[in-house]
Order: sequence, then structure tokens, then C-alpha cells
Amino acid sequence: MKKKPSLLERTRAYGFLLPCILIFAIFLFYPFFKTIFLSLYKTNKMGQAKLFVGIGNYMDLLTSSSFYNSLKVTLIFVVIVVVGSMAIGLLGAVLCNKAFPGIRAFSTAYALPMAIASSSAAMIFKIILHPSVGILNKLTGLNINWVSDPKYALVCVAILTAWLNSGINFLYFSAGLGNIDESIYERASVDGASPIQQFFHLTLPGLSPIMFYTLVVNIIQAFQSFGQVKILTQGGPGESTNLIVYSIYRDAFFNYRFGSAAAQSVILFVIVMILTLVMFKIEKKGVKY
Amino acid sequence: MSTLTLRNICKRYQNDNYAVKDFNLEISDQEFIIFVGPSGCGKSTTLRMIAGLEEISGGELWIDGELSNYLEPKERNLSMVFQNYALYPNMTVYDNMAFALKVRKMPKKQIDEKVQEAARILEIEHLLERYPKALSGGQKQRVAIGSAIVRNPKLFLMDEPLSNLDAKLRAQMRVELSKLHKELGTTMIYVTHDQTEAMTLGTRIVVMKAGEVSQVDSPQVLYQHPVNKFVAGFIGSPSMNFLDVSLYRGYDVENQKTYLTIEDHPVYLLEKTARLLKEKGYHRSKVTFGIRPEDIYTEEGKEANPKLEYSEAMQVTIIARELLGAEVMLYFDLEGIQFCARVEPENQTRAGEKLKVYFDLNRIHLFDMETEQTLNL
Repeated sequence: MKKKPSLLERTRAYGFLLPCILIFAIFLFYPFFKTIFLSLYKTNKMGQAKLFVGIGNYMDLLTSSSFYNSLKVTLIFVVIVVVGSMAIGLLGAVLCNKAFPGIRAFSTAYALPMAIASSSAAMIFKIILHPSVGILNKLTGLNINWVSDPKYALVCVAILTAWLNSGINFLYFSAGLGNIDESIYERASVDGASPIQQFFHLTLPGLSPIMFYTLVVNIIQAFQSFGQVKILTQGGPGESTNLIVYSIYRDAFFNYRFGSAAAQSVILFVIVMILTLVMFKIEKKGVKY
Repeated sequence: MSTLTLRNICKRYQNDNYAVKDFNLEISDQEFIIFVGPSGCGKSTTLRMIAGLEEISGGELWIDGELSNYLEPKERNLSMVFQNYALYPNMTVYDNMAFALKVRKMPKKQIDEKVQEAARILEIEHLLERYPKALSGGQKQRVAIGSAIVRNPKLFLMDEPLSNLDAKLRAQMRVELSKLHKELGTTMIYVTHDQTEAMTLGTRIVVMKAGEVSQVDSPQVLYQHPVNKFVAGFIGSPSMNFLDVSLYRGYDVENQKTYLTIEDHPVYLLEKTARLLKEKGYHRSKVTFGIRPEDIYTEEGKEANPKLEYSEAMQVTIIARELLGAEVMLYFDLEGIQFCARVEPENQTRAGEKLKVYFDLNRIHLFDMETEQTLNL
């Protein structure tokens, strides 16, 4: 029989939890519920709730073409970023999984984007992509105004973000590769599998548990990209890079429509939540061991 | 039909460190070759060079008359069983066994036949749908062997395949491997540090020490006529007793025999042994004397085997006695060195008691103290 803990014991347990609960409450729970609360109101310029409109803010959003554009742009952006950053991270990790002279330098280089702030990376890219003095145009001989052309702006921001996110993926994948038993590759090469067959039959399945985790983290991270958009394109040209997070920022701090911004935040939350839940459902079938 | 020739095979690392040096061996069809030796003697390295997993630094490797030094592992058409089984964790047992065939683009139906056949031989048909993590050590071992035999390779390479199993299972798998070899008739090369496996499985044993081959012979020859002190000590359990002794030659005409002394007792050598020593120029010199535990006899043992030629009786004090069921091990000191004798189980001598022992003179081994080569061979 399990004895019920005494009152003192319980108080003590909550005492230990208190600092954590406090920090979570201030920086997570309060803003979260406040956001839901605000999304039901029209606000004044100070962000104070003034007029209860119920689901009015949501109705406005769902009829706004600008919001649908935001969603579409964000979706494209997330796909490019997630695929790109995972591909770069995986490629780097596979390349660096062999011992050769200078391996540390290469590993550091691949992991480096993790340590770069998104805004400073954006500044660097701004110079690289500059139409007249940027090194990209100089090297390729093209004459494209990368970030000011609606055709290229989103792709540019997405690739920058993919590269930025690839650092942590590189680390995850390197750790994952380190967990794969070296001798199965030896057996595979005696069995007659080519390096490509080994990659698809052994390496990828071997990475599948960590791959899933990386995918979830990457999607969430991609949805929340902000700094690079702010520096590089400010959502433009037109609304071609107006990602949801940037749109929230613009609504709240430029247009002072906190209610609408809050409603968008809630929708973003719901989307990410659903995606994550769906992926966890799929994981149970997809990851075999 | 598959033959293998290794000619002066070397594995050299930086600063002329040799892991394997001048390995020479001819392996004919259907042989069961064992590489045996202590850890780090280069036996696994040699096997991996044959498999193509390690680069060969020098010498020639001929498989079926084809120079194979630079062939990729998959072009050599061998299969290998690894010490840790190396099963693919993401595939079922069936897929594990089918993998080598799948990558060779064999038709599905044929693959299925071969896998079922191998599973039947190894009695793992009920495990085909399982993943490796749901298998016991012995089952993993069978799957690993199954994956190797589905391909009908020219040659099987096995790298200490039984060393991760417990003693009972190891004994069982040893018998099955031997059976499997008879059934398949494929040439096998088997690496082990376990001399029981070596003795029971091999048609020929390659004893290696520090990267060099000490002796290649059948188990029986290896056991009875080891070429040097290392082989003599490595093969056999408990191992041979060694003692550094002086050789003498009697002066009076009547007793002009060569003898050695152990604790001031003379042990007169047989005429043929003495002649061999004389031919090689060993008289009045120090040599290493060696005798196996089962070649030391008690009074009763001597009477039971009257045809053998024995040394004079030697009085020893037993310091320990081990009863192993079918036999008894008696331990005693000679000149401060511990000797072990394997005697009949009826022997009741206890520790502290005195006992007369006799050496079988035909089974005495004498080694040069410097080169450790056998002198009476």
C-alpha cells in the first residue's frame, strides 16, 4: 500500500518546484493566456483591451487576403527551410563522419551557424546579396536584385534560415551517426552493398529516431523565424516575405492592432500544435526501432 | 571449388610497426582453417585483409587463382560473421538474411527460397519476423551465420563468432558449426583465441604470435609436436609445465646416458632424444624442459600403462588438488615452479601429502632457452 505523503512533504515538494513554476508563470503561462484574452478584444494603442468582440478578430483574419497570403508564404518558407536545413545538416554530418586530417575544422564550420545570431547573419547576407556590390552577383555575373525582387526574396530568406538552422541539425545527426554500429557497414560492404545502398538501407534508417525529433524541432523553429525577415526584407517586397510571425509583429507594433496580432498568434499556435501532434502519431508507425 | 593463397602478406602501420608480418598460407578447398593466438597477435587483422576490410600493405592474396589484393570486399564473394554479429538493427531477421541477395538484385522468389532454406538449417524459422533487438545472443549468432550462408560464398570468414556467448551455448554452437561445415562443404577461416574451439573445429590450425605465424598444422600434430615453446604453452589446457634445466652426459661407460636434473634428481633421456640433442650440438647446456599435465603419471597410472617408458620416480609434495569429475588435477612445486599433473579420479592424495610421480619420456619436450625452438623434434 502506498502511503499518502504528509502535508509537510507535499509542501516541501511544491517548494522545490516553486522557482520553476514562477518563471514559467511569468514568461510562459501569463503571456499565453493574456494572448488568448487579447485575441477576443479590440485594443487601444497601449495594448489594453477595450472592446470585447468575441471571435471578431478571427473572423476578420479569415476573410483577409493578406492573412491567407501570410499563411501561404509561411508554408512555402517552412518547407524550404526544413528540407534545406535538414539536408545541409545531414550532408555535413555524413561527410564529417569519417576521420581525416582537419576534421575538427570542418565540423566546427558545419556547426557554426548555430552560434550566429539570425540578425547578424542577415546583415552579412544583405551585403552578399546586394545588387551592385554583393559578392553573389559579382561571382555569378548575374544582375539580380535578390531581396527586392518578389520572385527571389522569399527563397533568399528561406535559404539563409535553412543554413542558420543547419548547425544544430549537424550536431543532432552527428550524434545519431555516432550511435550507428560501425561493424554493420563492414558487414554491408562484404555483403556487397554499394556506399549509396548502405546510405539508404543503413544510415537513413539508423538515423530515423533522431531524424523525427529533428524534424519536429525544425518545423517549430522555422515557423518562428523573425530576425532575418526583419533585417533583410521587412516582409517585402509587397507582402512576399510577410511570414506570420513578422505579420504579428507588424500588426502589433506598427499598426497597434494588438487584438488581431493576438488572434494570429493563437492561430499559429494551433497550427504548430496540430502539426506536432500529427507527427507524434505518425512516429509510432514510422520509426521502427 | 575455392582455394586461397596468402604469400608474404604484411600489415604495416606507420614507423614500420608490423601488425602482421610475412604471413604465408595455402588453403585448399573445404578446409576449416583456424587462426588462433593471444589478443593482438594479428589474427583478426589477417582475416580482415582477406575480407578486404583492411588494406594489404605487402604480399599477395590469391583467391581461386586470382590476385585479389585490390578487389573490393563485395567482388571477393566471401561472407563474414562478425564477433558482435553486426545485424542490421532496422531490419527483421528475414531482411537481414536477404540483404546480401537483395543488393545483388536476385529475384524475390529465389531470395525467399534461399532464406527459408538457411533458416531451416539453423532452426530459426520462427524468428524470421522479429527484429534483432528481440533476439537472444545465441539467436543473433544463428541469424548472423544464416546471413552468411544464404549467399553460397566461396569462403566463410568468422571473426570470433562465439566469444559473446556463454560457455554452454558456445559448446553447443561449436558442435553445430562443425556440422554446418560438413553440410555445406565450404572453405572456412575462423579466428579465435579459444584453443578448445581451435582444437575441435579446425582441420588445420594457424598459431600466431606477435604478427607472425608460429606453426601451421593439424590439431593433433600441433598438440604433440609443437615447434616452439609458445605453441607448446598456448595449445592445451591446463598448459604445458615448463622448467629451465641443465643437460648432462654421464661419464662412466656403463651409464653413458644424457640426462637432465630436476631438484638434483636425474631424468635420463631416451636414446633417440639424446641423439637429436647431440646432433644439434646441445650437451652440457641449459635447456627448457616441458611436459604436459597428462604425461605425468602416479604409481597407479604407471602400472595401468606398462608399455610406456618412464623416468625415475620423483618425490613431490602436493600443494593443491582439484577434482574436475572425470579427472583430478594435482599441483606441486619443482624448483619453485608450479607443476600440474592430470591423474586418474581414484587418486586420493590430499594437499600436503607426498607422492611419487613419473614422466612419460616419449612425451618430454625440450626447448632452446634463447630461441624457444623445440630441440627434440
